[in-house]
Amino acid sequence: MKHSDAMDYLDSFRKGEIEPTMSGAVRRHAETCSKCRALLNGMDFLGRLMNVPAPTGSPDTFVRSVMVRIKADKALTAEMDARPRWFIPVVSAGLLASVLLMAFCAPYAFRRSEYTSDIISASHQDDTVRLQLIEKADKLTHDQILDFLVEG
Amino acid sequence: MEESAARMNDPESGLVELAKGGDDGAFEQLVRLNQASIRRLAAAMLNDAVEAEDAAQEAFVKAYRKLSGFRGQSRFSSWLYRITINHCKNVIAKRDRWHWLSLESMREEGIEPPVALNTPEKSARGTEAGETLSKILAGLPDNYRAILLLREMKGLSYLEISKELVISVDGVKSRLRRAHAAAVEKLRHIQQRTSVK
Repeated sequence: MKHSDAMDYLDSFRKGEIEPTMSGAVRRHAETCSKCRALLNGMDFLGRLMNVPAPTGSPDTFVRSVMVRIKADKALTAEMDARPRWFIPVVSAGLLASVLLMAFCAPYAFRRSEYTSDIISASHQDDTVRLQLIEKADKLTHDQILDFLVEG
Repeated sequence: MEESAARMNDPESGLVELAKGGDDGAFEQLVRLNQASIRRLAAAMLNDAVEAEDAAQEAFVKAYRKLSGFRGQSRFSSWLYRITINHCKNVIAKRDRWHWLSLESMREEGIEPPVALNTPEKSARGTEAGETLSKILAGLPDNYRAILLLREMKGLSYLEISKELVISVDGVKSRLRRAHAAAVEKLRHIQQRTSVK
């Protein structure tokens, strides 16, 4: 058998779909032809990779599940579409503003906590000093408070 | 020429047009007609029954979403195969990441992973086989991929394939021969690359 003829029959030979006489001729050729042997081995390997048993679950259940998913997906898309165009930009801008505000206020809050600890220290001094300090705390820098406490 | 004739005779093209017009019943018919091959393809690629069912369902949902973009330049089933293959590739990539992470975190906690997870046979056999198959299928032209799936996965005869693709039996034989040669060549490349690593 010629190589080109054998190539034509390799697939049906592998699947056992040709007559015994032809099958014998292809086998004999493949035994002496490394190209055909390599192709046959590759086809067998590929066949094994692709040969999986038919799914056991019922087709009806599968189809129903797909359609339920599609319905849910459509509902979600409709909900997203129903939101006004400004929704996402406005929410994003709001979030950004909150982050910036927090970043801006953090040092101030930190300073306030420093004042608080100074005021607690001042509570050991006399009440007038403490009250004056509480009144002025917002307007003074930390160093000014320390000076104030030292001077009494 | 052959391909366009096949598309014209594609019994699914009418359903596709109806589905594109918003007829969900028509899409349901398309799911029913293609579910077996898509579920088998996902099962072959993922080697896990539960994941495969989920992936096959998700592939149909993706197809529904993208339906308006389907121009009919290939058969609907070929287009669906492509979506399924891409989705399964993503599932495999995610699974690899999670598998690695879970093993790492178990080791960090001082727990020795169970043998079934720790040895490559159970975890990687299915993944490697699925990856190999997905690489081969993804690298083939649509008409080669479709004919291989019909022959190897559905087990159709030459005559059945010729009816399905609306080409002659001789056309089936020669296309199948070229498709096998291309797929085996890709397999050889993949195996060479793997052995080099």
